[in-house]
Amino acid sequence: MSERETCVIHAYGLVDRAYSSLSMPTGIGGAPVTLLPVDGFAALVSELDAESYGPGMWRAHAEDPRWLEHVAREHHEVLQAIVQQTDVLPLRLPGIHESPARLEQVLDEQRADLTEGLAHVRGHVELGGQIFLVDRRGAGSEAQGSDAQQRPRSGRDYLRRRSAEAEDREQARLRRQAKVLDAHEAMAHGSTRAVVNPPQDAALSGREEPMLLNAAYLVPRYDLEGFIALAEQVQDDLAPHGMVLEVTGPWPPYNFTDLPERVSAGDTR
Amino acid sequence: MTVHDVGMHEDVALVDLIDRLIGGGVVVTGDLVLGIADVDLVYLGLRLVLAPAHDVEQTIVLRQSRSPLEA
Repeated sequence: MSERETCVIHAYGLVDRAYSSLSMPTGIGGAPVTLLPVDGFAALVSELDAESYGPGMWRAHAEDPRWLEHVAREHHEVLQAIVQQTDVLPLRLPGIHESPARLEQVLDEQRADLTEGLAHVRGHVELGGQIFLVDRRGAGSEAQGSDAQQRPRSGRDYLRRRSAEAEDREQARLRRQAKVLDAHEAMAHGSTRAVVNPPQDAALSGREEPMLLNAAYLVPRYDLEGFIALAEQVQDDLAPHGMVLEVTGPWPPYNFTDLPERVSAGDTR
Repeated sequence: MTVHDVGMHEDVALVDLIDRLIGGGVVVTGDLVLGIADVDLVYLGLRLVLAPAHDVEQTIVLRQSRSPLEA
């Protein structure tokens, strides 16, 4: 595309059709968001000034966290406002196209996959489920009671005790791991699809408690309360082991845009 | 149990958002106007949004592995 174009089309996501009743949020850089109807669905788009958001700017800011955070947040806020009203299939950043006609053309080329992608999230939202270890002295680790209070009688006694403590810690870790798996299994069972992502590093999450599960669940809209009730049971089960479950959402279904068994050519995941 | 309603954008933890944006979303082929190399740079950049610049390599949350449930 020519970089001398004055406008680019930023695509946020896809909805079933060009609903006239959707309340449109403000887009990136304050631009209006409109619906571009194509055959089979409609794309949420903004016409953006190429000087601010064109390919040149993406290149210039590819390593600029502040600019990317701004674009990422505004991209997300549009999808978040829409998912509260209707089902939406998020598109990946950077979603810029040279013209509505060109976007329409590429959407048309991928129509079968995109239609299927929309069908997979129809009637659903994403909920995040994260489990944190808040207290290492959970159930089962009380073994370090009276014995540990006394001073070791000998070097051999000291080593024996150290080894017993290490064994206790390992046992506690395995019990927690089993509980985390049970928790995930229960929530996966209570949802349509589930994805487990690598736990976020404490340096990124800004939290001291280690994250033991970083999962996302695709939950039917009609069953949100049921899923929350299930999550509360899961939490009751985790609490005695020093773990807490945090549920976030409803999110646009970012984690569920892969078609099962098929990955599109440009997907670097 | 805590349920964080992300309906209000102020409540969205940046790390949770970037976590989703880096790996999530459908790739529409035409959006690769930047060329593959540049797109990779964008994802590196998105990680930089979160990470202290000096230890990005160590702290990056990569989404390549799909089932690390090790506690």
